[in-house]
Amino acid sequence: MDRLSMTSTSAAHDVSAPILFNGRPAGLWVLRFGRFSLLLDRRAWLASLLLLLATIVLVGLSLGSGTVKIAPFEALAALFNQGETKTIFIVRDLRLTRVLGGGMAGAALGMAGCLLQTLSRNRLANPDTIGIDNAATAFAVASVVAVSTTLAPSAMALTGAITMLSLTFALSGGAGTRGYRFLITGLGLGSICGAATNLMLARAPIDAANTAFPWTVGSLNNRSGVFVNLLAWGVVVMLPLAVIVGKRLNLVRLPDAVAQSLGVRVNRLRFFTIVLAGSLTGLAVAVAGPVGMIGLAAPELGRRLAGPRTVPIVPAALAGACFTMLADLLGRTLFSPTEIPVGIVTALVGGPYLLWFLLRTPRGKQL
Amino acid sequence: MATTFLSRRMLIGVLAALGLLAIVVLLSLGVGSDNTIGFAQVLAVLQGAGDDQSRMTVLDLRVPRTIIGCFVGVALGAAGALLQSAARNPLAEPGLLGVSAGSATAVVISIALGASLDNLQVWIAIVGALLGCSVALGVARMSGLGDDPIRLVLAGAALSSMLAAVSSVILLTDQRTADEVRFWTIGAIAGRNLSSIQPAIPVLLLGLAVALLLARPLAALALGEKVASGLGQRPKLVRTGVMISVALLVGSATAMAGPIGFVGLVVPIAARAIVGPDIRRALIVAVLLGPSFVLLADVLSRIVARPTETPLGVISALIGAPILVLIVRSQRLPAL
Amino acid sequence: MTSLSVRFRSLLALLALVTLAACGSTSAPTATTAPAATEASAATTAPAATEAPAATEAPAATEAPTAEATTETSASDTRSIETRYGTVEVPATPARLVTLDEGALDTAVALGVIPVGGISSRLSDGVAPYIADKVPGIAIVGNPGEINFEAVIAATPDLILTHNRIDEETYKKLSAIAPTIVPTNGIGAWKDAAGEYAEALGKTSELEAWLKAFDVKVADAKTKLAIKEGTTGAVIRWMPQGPLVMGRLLPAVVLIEELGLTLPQVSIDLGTDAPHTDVLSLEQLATVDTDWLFVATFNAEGDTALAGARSQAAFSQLKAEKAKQVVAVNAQLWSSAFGPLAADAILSDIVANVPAAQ
Repeated sequence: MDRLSMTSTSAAHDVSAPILFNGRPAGLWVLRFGRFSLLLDRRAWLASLLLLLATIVLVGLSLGSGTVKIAPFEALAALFNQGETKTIFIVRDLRLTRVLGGGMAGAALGMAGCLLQTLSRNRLANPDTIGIDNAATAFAVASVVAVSTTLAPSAMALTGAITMLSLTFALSGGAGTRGYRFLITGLGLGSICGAATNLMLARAPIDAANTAFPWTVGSLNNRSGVFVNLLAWGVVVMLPLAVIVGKRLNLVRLPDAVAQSLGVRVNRLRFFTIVLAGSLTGLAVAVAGPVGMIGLAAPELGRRLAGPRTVPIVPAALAGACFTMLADLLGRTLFSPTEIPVGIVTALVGGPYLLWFLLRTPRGKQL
Repeated sequence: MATTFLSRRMLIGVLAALGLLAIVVLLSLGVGSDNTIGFAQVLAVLQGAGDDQSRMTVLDLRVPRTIIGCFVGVALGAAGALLQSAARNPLAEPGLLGVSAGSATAVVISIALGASLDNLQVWIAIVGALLGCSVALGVARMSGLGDDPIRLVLAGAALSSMLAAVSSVILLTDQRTADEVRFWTIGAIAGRNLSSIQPAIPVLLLGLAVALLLARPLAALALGEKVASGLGQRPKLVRTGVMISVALLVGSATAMAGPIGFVGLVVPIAARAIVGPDIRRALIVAVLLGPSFVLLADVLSRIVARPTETPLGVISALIGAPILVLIVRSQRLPAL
Repeated sequence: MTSLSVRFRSLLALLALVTLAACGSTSAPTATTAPAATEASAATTAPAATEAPAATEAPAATEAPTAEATTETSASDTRSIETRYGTVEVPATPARLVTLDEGALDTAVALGVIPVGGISSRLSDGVAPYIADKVPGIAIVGNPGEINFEAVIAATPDLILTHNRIDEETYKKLSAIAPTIVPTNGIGAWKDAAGEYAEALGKTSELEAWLKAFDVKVADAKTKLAIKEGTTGAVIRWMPQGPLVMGRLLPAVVLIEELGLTLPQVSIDLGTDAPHTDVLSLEQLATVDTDWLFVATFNAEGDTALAGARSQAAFSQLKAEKAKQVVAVNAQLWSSAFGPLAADAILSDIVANVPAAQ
């Protein structure tokens, strides 16, 4: 059995270990503030620090590279409004928006993936397949090619995501055990949206179809500043919520009866998890469009680094941010001045990974 | 065996499916975008009379698409029945598992490399379907699936979205392909002429023959691996056969009409509802019901947005997705 | 953003001043210019100051052309252009033009302004084939879907021409780079759109002369072709599922009408809102069954593209096909390009393929 997987009994053991253990629990740090003490999972914290470091490096790289060459020091100065106006414009208005948008969208997708996977105890559950991004794409494309609306594509994408989330909930009649009912309902509704998008694109004048193209693959070029800010605030607010939900979800790995006796209201928790994951996905796609694979790969890396004891919300968020920024960096520098949209890069890199991931995973493995 | 196979229920099921098919074929001939040509004109044309306009519409347009719709329906219905039985999963559908997406992606690649939709090579679509199918079934490892039908679907969804992205890459770099393909990728049986689908027909029939041969071993397999082995079946061989058969069927259907989803989901479920879970019967009924579903969707596609036509793939998604939701909503997934 | 563009322009003005000063006394030491720069804008430090004097001698420096253009005509010598997003000051004679629309590219080239940067056409990595040999060194700074802003900056434009669908946020980003013209007209009123571009380029009279000459050409062609009253014609694209009919939004459709062909009703019904209909059902073929059919295809050789259509029974039923009056034309040129050169090329296509005085 793989070390990532865990039967309910071993989960029970893990969770109760710190409670039953007298003295210093292995692999944990204990922080004491007078009467209060906090147990910190050492491996998870080290993983987060490592990923944070990678994130910082990638932010630096992204701000420093592009079609226009800017020396690292100059870029740094420009970041703080020092230097040539042109350089400041490139670094702050173009690259920073892009890095912020990419990093935050990646973090949101990483968190959403982690929540959904933990909820469904299935490592294949991810925000790409629950229909939210299909709906966001369909709405954004509609705003570009079909419907004359004053709403910007980003706003329409967000509207689409919210509509889909509520519709899926209404139709699935709740999350269902392990959220499966929700996942498959989303998949079905998503395929309707996918068909609608194709239909709109096929019928649209080709110039409009071209304008809509970035919304069908996921791109970070020329994103709306307002929505990048909204996403950033969303991530900041929802990160702590996700961490708390993740901790509770760890308990739901136990049989429902046991979890309930530990004080977890299972159904409410499931509902809340899905709302949280859906909102994060919605915000991310409103900014970047349907960037695939991040929600699948980021939690995986998070788990590998952080180990099985925790639900790695923070590592998954950081890994998602890293993946997205890296993909965007590659997309805009590899064939410069031709840019490859970030969604295409994640698909091309993620594709082989997915195949390997699918074919390698031994059957019956659960989270 | 023979007596169980030809039970009363089976007879009724087959007759009902045939009756439905007859009605739908009539509809497909008599209903179209041009509503001046109805059943009376069709009757006249079929007797050798009728004006040029009616003759052209009926003989050159409606008859070919009806025939193609039948072929596509047979292929997708059979493929769905086979796959659901082999994977023991009511959600195992060529579209959901990424088999159609594999086939479509292969076609997009071949067009980008210079082929044209008009002289599409069937084998390209089949190779794509085979790849998609082997990944899907490789993921499933078949036997472990009874426990977790959703897992296979999630794997298929991930695979499909990846393949869609690969297609996007090609379409991004090759706008000529994009323009040629953007109508095809939705799936439609309008405007295909019989001569262009001819190469796909033998492949389809071969796939169907393999499917029919596999029905008995699959029925044995449904009793469990050990029992099946005891009955002299070789589970591995059977699964390989399923894979090949599904690839042949879906590949040829995709070559004819583009990727059309949900047929392989809805049809076998209906078939089982009529004649019960035994694959030998369900397969026969699914083969008969498939064309009805496709043609019904196609008739709708002609009339919902006159004078234009709504692509068949959109209609089938609109019908199929709610049924998928209904299946999932039913308290527990029906185990096969 | 606005404040930024203001700052950017004030910096340009400053650069111009500095350059003027440098021109006045060629021996002016760098040391004297540097403080001036620092005073006016804390943001500008050594790099700007060092570049400014260089600009007078070495146009290769990144900032040079911009500074130079402004210098030659002096900072006040700009023209005000009305655009979709308000009045924009453009240099009197733009030296480094970037076009973010194929119609703008066409118009500029026709008026003798060769852009330094443009977007790829939707069918290739470079600009559209009909215009490619006229702009050999053009830098590609985006595609019809996305603009690569850094590539635009790297092209150091002093004027940017875009299409009328650019949203305000994108416009603000562009105008932080250089004065940006977003016209109020598009392909549907291409002569007006070309007029807006020409005005921005200071070539209004040249465009008027060109349009006059073009009208004469059209009139000549009309006399020569002598198309009989009531002869019908349509521009379509042929999809396997059915035809897609182009409407009067497209210059090509307007042109065949001007030459004397009567459009089918379905084409007229489109008005000037949409370039083409949805794919019509093959059963509705009678609606496009005209004497002349211009079939737009994206393949290099039109005839191969038509081979597919010809294999379909429905296509061979068409009047035009029976009378061999089907003309395969380049879809890029006929259905999305506009501008003087495109109009010329479309006219030549028609004259070359429609025999005179039938």
